[in-house]
Amino acid sequence: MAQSFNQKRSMKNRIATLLTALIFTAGMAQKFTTKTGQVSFFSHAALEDISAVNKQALSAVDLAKSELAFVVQIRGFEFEKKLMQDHFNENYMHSDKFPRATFNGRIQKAAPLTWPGSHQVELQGKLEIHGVSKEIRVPATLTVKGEEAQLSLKFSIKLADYGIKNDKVKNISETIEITVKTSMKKA
Amino acid sequence: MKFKKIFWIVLLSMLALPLGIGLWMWNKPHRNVQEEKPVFVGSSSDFSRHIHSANDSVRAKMMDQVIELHGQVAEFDRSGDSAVSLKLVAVEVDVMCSFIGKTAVELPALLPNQKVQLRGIFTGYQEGIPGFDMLPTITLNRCALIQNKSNK
Repeated sequence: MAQSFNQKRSMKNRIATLLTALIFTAGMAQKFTTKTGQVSFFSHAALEDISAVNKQALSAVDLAKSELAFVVQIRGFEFEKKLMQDHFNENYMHSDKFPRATFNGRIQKAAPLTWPGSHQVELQGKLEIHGVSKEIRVPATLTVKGEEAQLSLKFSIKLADYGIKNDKVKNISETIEITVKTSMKKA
Repeated sequence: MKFKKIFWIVLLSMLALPLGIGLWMWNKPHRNVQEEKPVFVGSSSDFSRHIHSANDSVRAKMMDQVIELHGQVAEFDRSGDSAVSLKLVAVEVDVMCSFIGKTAVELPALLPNQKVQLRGIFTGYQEGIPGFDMLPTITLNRCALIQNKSNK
């Protein structure tokens, strides 16, 4: 009888441990991902304003580790004009050699963030475009509500910093503005 | 007098021709995937297996080519009138198809598991983001529906 009582107590302890581990793991699982993030850019120049959008960016954020990442296929940028799109891929981005742009970084915050909520944060990490990787720090807005996390940011880069050369006609400005809007679901 | 007339005709023609070519090139229309011959025709699963197991040079040959796939809808997402994202059921890979402009506006709402046939331009293969549980992704752009079969 004593042995049966001990066995029952041991089983209860095991169940309690398992439940605790599951609850802890669920609480820590704060990863959000999407494959339909939107990345767009805008360039103002003398001849014509140029803009393009890519609606198939991969993006992922891990709130527990404050890490996030983006991957964008260069050929996925859509332009209004076909000629611009061809020039972009063949003459500027050389997308056959450098097929994607990536960002890997961390969410910097002044104080611990609470979720759900909406916070102004700073993203710090490596942005790689055209085979060149540079450390950047950009402000962003991160909103988490239920099963969804939304991230939006806007920043500028100098093309020359990434080895992207301007052509002789100066059809594109030296600085372009990049906008990222992504709505991620819990992974 | 006649010489002057011919001179002006020739001069204007010489100016008009490059101008016309330049204007045509500047306003060159985007590719019409419905009219282009696809380099691959098959199921989304076959295509995903082919690309997933291929090396970079094989994938590079398919890059920017028209692909025709038939498969089942895994996810359908319309954002605004002119942009639709469609995920097809595939093996070990997500096949993401993007519709924009007129083809997006005309696209009817599709249901999960609905059978479709579409064409699009292959624009990329991505392994996924390290540290996150993401399947590799194949992306097709400028997609157009060829056939839309209901589940019935």
